[in-house]
Amino acid sequence: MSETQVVPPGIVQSAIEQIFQTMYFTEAGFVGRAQPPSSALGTTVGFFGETEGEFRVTVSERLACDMAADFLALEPGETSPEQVEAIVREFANVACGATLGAWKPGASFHCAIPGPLERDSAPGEFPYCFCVSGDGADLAGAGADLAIDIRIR
Amino acid sequence: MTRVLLVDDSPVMRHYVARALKMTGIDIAITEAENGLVAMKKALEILPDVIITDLNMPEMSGQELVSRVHAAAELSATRVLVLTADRSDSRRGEMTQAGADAYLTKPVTPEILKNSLIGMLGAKP
Repeated sequence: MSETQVVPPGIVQSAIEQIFQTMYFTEAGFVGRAQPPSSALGTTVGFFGETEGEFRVTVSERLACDMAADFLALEPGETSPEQVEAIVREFANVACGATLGAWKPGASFHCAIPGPLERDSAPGEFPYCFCVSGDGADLAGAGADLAIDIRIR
Repeated sequence: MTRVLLVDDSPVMRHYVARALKMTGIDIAITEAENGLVAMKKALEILPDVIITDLNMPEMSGQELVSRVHAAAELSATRVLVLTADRSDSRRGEMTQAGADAYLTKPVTPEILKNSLIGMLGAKP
């Protein structure tokens, strides 16, 4: 009987923190298992290879808009809904590759093109949640605005 | 001026990389393409010094693009930098074998991009 594989939280935490520091110039605070943000954009990335599964991401609308503005060097409010959605997809793509690469260095993976995550297909708590703030807010006291689930098949 | 062909199916990623390239301080002219098929046509027109390409794209993948560039006599002086989220060693090996000159994984900083470009341009025949 095969054991269910779970990506250690520390691996996900480290990968996500590095992405936010490098691409969005802000900090991501790990809050563990939590409910995903209620008003959010979702995307999913399938991965194939030595381990197969799905990397699911939901990002609060506010954080997604902030990420888009940072990434594109625009003022908040100057980004289009299409750009915001594209940023979430790009984030999911990079986060999937970074997490899998850190989890199983040397393993062979292939990440699919990100697609939409239907809200109804992602009920309940997500195991890897973050509070991201670029304005110095208290991360510990705020709710999660980024939620990740990694489902290994 | 260094001619760079930037290939990614994500317009926001092309925007980000183009901005990072401008921040390197290198005198660069950037042409963009949304997949390997469009990139190959543009490459044969502009004969770029460097192609920076994603791997996972519709129509024609980055891997196919690298192979075609490597096989095209007109592009023998063109260097190829793969910029991808795929960190697997096997993929890196495949791309090197296909003819890629450098392989960077996202997230990438302008500094890393700059160093890689300088390294490739310095090695240009």
